[in-house]
Amino acid sequence: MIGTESTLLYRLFSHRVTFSVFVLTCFLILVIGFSFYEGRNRADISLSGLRLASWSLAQFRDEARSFEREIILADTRIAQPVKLKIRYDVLWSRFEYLLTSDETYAVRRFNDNVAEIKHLFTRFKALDPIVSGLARNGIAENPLRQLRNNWTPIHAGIDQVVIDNLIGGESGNLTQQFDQDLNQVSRIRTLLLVMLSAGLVYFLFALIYLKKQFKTDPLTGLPNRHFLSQKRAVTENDLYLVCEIKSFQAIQTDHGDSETDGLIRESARKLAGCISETDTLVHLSYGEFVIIRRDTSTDPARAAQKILDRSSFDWKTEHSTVPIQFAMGADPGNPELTENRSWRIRHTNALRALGYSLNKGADLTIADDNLISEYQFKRKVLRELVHFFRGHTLSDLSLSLVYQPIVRVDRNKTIAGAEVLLRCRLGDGTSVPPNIIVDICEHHRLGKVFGEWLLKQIATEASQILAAARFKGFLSINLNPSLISNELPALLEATVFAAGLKPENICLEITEDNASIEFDSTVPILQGLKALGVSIALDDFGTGYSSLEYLQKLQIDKLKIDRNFVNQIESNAAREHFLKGIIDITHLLDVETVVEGVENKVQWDIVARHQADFVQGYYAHKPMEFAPFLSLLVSKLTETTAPREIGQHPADLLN
Amino acid sequence: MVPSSIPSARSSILLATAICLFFFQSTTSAAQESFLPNLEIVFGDEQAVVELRASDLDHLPQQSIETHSPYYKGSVEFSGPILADLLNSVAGGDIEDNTRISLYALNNYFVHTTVGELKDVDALLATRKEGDRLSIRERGPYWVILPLSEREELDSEHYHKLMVWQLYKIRLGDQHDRD
Repeated sequence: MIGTESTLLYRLFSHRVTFSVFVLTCFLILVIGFSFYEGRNRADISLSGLRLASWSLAQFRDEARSFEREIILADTRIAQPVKLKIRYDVLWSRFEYLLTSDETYAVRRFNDNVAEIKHLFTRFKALDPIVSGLARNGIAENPLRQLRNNWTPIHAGIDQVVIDNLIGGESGNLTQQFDQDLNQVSRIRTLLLVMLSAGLVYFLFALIYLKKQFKTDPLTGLPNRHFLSQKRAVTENDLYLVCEIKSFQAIQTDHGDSETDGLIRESARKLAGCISETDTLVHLSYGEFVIIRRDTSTDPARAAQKILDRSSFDWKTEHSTVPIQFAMGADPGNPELTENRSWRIRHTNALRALGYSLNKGADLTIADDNLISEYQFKRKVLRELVHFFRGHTLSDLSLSLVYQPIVRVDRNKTIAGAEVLLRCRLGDGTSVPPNIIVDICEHHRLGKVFGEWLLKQIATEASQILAAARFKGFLSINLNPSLISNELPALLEATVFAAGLKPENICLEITEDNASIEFDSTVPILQGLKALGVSIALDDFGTGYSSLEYLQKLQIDKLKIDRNFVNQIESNAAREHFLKGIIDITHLLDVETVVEGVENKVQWDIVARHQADFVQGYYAHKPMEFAPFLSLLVSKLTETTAPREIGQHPADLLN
Repeated sequence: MVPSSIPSARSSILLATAICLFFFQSTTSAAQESFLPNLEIVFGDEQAVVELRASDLDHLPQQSIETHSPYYKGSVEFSGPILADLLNSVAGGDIEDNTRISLYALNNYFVHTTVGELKDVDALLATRKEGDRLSIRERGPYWVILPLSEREELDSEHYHKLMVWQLYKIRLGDQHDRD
């Protein structure tokens, strides 16, 4: 994915280059600013200022000449002393004009004109008495000679000033600096144009770079989320795969951030090597990769499996080698759809499939309609459960309790107790299996609320059982994992005991899975409960990671043997041996057995032959709602007190 | 081409001359004034020339303008007759606005304009500065002053060029081609 072009772009916008460009720009701004500042010092001289200055200098020379002419004419017949005086005054006013007027500012700004003109003016002023005298008294030879002698160098000086300023002397003429400024401005303009063009090109590259960066993950250089958001990035012709490193969190915890970064880069390389050129690999979030597979000629499962098979690798870190495997969820496109679904929908589907893979420890799951609808169903149940527990009246879900009697394995099938089971129905009549409810509750932090609700509900109904049926058996209650805590005794106290049930009326069922989660913390809690007089049953024995160790360590009172051991036991001798073995062992451990799933007389007889203590199954009683259960108990009560009539009870008819 | 204003100007020459004679009789020239050239007013065909001395101008209604200018620092008060008034009185009647007028200075500077423009800009023919008669050194004897401080729009080069100093000759009428 990382081409030479990107590398060039990357270099172009590396810190060093961008900083250099920044410095260069600052420098340019400084240079231009300085030159403008310099120009600003001269900006008070305009071209028209120069024009006026030139004009005043020309007048200066003219007026000096006019005065000169009067001096020359002074000793002729046409001498006019008054005119001499007038010319002298006119020139006098010119000196002042040059030294004071705003219009002659430019003259004063350049060279050392001010000093020069002032010097000439001082000498010129000194002629005043002579000129005035000549004007007043008429022409006399001596003063006239004196005037001529003194005037000649002044006149030369005036000519010199004018020539220096207009043509240029040692220090340059009036417009020289102006021309230099103009040249500088034009050079700056050219420089600016070049720099602006270069800047524009750089800016264009920056745009391209940013656009690329926007869609690129900096860690792996792979496309990122923004890539997926593009139109047609994912079409219905593509296979959408989400993959994650198995036990990624554990690896991350073990190796720390920087090493994990390396793992992600290596995973990116590895996965990139497993896909074809037309496919796209996206690093969506940390450790979460998406593969858009364009080739749909092969079966999605096979295509995904092929990638999975090739993607496993050994990650070598400084100190260890970790085998890396990916888990995958896939969402196959549906080309029959007229419009492409959003990548987010595809992603959600694939993510659900991935979640399924991770839960089941599988490598790959393809999101099909069942999986998706299961997720959707669970989401709906969850939503309704939340409503239910919050007491919303409009909840579309109802939870209730049903009771399945547990009978002694004797001729009368004496009811020894009952397991309290959960029944859940949605508004449309669909029933939700209790284990799903428990799962959802446990997964979404509703376990405790659920357990409390369960115990309160049992307490409410148990008080009626006690009152009406003088119940002396036990109620077997399934403990969901959240309930197994130090708070359980107090909770029992507040609910079932408060309702009048004695501890010996309560049997708490735990499953091996629950117990194995936190064995160390579970044991003391169970011991505390036992100390209260409550009995403990291990449910579903034989389905999970069964271990006889549990029987001993958990100090259980009853063992509930899973229905799988009884199922078709009548035609399977091995199963019967197995069942016998379990029953014998439990008896040795002084644990009572409850055999679940006994459905017919043959099975019952087998179970009876091996001396199981209790049976819970359809052959004895199906689960029933509270009212029938109550009337069943009441009828059994009258049975024991009244003379027994054979065939009174349907179960007895089967005997 | 003789503008229509000229015949009327010509017809009033006698009157103007009479006024001048009156002025000449009634004035006594001060010593310093002997160095000040007279103000010549020339009518287009040069057949009629009126020469006025500085003191003659004092007999016309005096106005003053206090203004800044590019030629000196700060604000200075000038006084003298309104230029248009002077021209009217010399011509013996209202001179038409489109009459050409040229102003000449001792330093060979001159400017051509119209009577109307000089009226528009309220041109004053200053003879005094801060009450003292203008010397040539102070750009006298006559200086066309515009009220730059009062009318900011006049403070531009276009109007500055009308502010002729060391004025000594005014020519009225369409005679510019001869200059």
